[in-house]
Amino acid sequence: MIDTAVLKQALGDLEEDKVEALLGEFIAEGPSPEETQSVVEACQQGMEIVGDNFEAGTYFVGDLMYAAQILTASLEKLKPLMSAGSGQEAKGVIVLGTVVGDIHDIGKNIFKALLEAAGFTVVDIGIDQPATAFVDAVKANSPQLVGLSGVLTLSIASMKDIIDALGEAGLRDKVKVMIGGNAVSAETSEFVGADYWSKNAAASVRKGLEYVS
Amino acid sequence: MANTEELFAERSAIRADLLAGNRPKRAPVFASFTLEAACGLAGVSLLDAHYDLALAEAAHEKVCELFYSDSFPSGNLRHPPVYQLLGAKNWILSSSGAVQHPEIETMLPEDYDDFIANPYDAIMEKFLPRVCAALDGGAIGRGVAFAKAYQEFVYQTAAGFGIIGRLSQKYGYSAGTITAPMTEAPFDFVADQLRGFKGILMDCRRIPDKVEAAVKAALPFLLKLAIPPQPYPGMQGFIPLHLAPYMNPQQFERLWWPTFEELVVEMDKQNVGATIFAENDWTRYLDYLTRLPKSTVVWAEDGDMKKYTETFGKDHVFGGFFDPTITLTKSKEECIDVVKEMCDICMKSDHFYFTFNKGVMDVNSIDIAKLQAVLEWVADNAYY
Repeated sequence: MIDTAVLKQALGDLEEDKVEALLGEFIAEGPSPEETQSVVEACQQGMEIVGDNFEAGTYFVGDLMYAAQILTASLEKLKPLMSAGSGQEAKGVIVLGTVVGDIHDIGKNIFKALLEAAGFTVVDIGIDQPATAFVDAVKANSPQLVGLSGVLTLSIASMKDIIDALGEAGLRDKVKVMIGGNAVSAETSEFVGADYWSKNAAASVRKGLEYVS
Repeated sequence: MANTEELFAERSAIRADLLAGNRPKRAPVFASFTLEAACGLAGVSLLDAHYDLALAEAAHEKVCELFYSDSFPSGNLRHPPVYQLLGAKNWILSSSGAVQHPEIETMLPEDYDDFIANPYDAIMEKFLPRVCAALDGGAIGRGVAFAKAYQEFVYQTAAGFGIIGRLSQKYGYSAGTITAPMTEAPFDFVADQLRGFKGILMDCRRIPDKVEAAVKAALPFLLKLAIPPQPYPGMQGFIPLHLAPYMNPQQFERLWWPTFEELVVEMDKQNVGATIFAENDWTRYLDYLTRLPKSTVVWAEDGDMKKYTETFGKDHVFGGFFDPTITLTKSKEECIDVVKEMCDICMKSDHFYFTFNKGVMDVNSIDIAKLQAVLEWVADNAYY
C-alpha cells in the first residue's frame, strides 16, 4: 500500500520520477475508489507544500509550473480509478479568463492549476474575452469568484469594463472579483473596483479559499 | 528653429554625459509610449495605423505634442504586415489590434539534437515552416514569401526611422538609450521563439544538458543580430529580458546567465553597449548585472531602487521603476511626491535617467494631465 506521506512529500519536493513510480505501483495494485481518493488528496497536499514554498520565496514560477504539470499528470492517471461521486465536493466555483485585448494565458493557467489542486471547480473561458463572455459565464455557472487575468497594461481598462458590466447585470454583489497578472497593482485594483489583486498565484488561491469558507 | 537646435544640443550633451559615465547636469527624461497608446491619444484607429504610416506618424506626433521628453517618446517594434505576409503564428493581433506574442512551441523536445548540431538548418528547414504558414511549402514559394516579407520589413523599418528622424528634428530630441538593433538573451530566444515558456521551464528540470547545449548553440546568431554592419563607439543595442525572474537560482546560474553575459561582453568589445529591459523584478540578480561591462544600461520594470542605486548604479546607467498607472488613482501632488522620492533615492547615483517602468500601451491606463505634470516636474527639477 502506498505511503501517502511519502507521496505528498515527493510532490512537494518536485520529484517527478518518484511520484510517477509511486503512482505506478499504487495503480498496479488495483486500488478501490476510496483508496484512490486518499491518494488524490495526498497529491493535493503535496501541491500545498509547493504553494507554501513559493510564498516563502524558495520556489519560483518555473517550479510552480513544474509542480502543476506533475499534479495534472498524476490526476489524469488516477481519474479512471475513481467512481462517480467518490470525489471531493468542490470548495467553490470560479469563472476565470484573460480579459479582452490580451492573449496571454500562462499566468491564468498556473492559477487554474493551483485552484484545481485546491479543490475549486474552474470555468476557464479562455483568452481575449470581453465583458459579455464573463457576464454570461457568471449567469450560467453561479460562481462565488471571478478571476480576471492580464499581462499588458491595456488589460486595465478591460478589467474595469468587465467589473462594470457585472454591476450592470446585477451580479457584482454575488461574486468576489480577483485580478492577477503583470498589469495589476494596488492602484489598478482600486481603479477597476476589484475585491483583491495579486501577482502571486499561490496567495490568490489562499484568498479564494478564504472567500468561499 | 534656433530654439529646437538649442534644445537638441542641450539634450544631446546631457545624454552624452550620462552614457559616458559623467554626471549630467540633470537626469534625462526618456518617456516611452507604444503605437497603441499613441493611436489612443490621437484618436486614430490602431488597425489603420498598422497599414497607413502617415496615420502612424500623426499618432506618434501627438505623443510629442502632449508629453515632455528629451528623446523621441513614441515607438513601434512590431509590424503586422510582415507577420501577415509570413502567415506567422508567433506574432499575432489581439482583438484590440495590439501585436502580441502567444505561447508557442516551434521546437519539440525531440528536436533539440538537430538544433544543437546545426541551429541554422533546424530553424530554416523545420521551425520556420511550422510557425509561418507561408514558409511551409516548396522552395520557390518559400523564397518568394520570404522575399516579400523581408522587403516589407525593410520598408517598415526604414519608414519608422524616417518618422523618428522627422519628429526628432522638429522637437529637438536627442537620441535615447537605444541606437542599435535588438537581440535576445540566448536562453530567452530558445524559450520565447522555440520551446515556449512552459516547455523550456519543464526542460530545465527534465533535460537541462540539452537546454544548456541549445542555448550555447543559439549564442552566435543572437550576437550576429546585435551587431550592426558598421558599429561605432556609444551605440546601444536593445535586449528585452524575459525568463530569468521565473527561474530558480540554480537554473539561472547554469542555464540563463553564462551565454547572456558572453553576449553582452562580446557586444561591448564590438562597440555596442546593451540597454536591457529588466522585465519583472531583478533585484535578486543585481550582483550579476553589476558584473556586466559599464556600457550596460538597465531599464528596470520593478525592484528595489535603493539597492539598484547602491550597486548597479555605482558605475552603470539605470532608470525605470515609475508606474504611470498610478496617475489613475493618485492626485497630481501625490504622483509628483512619488517621483520626487524616486529622484531622491536614485539620484544618489550619477547615472540615473527617468523613464517609465515600461512603455505606456493604453491611453486608458493613464491620466494624461497628471502624467504630463510628472514629466514636466522631472525636467524642471531633477538637476544634480
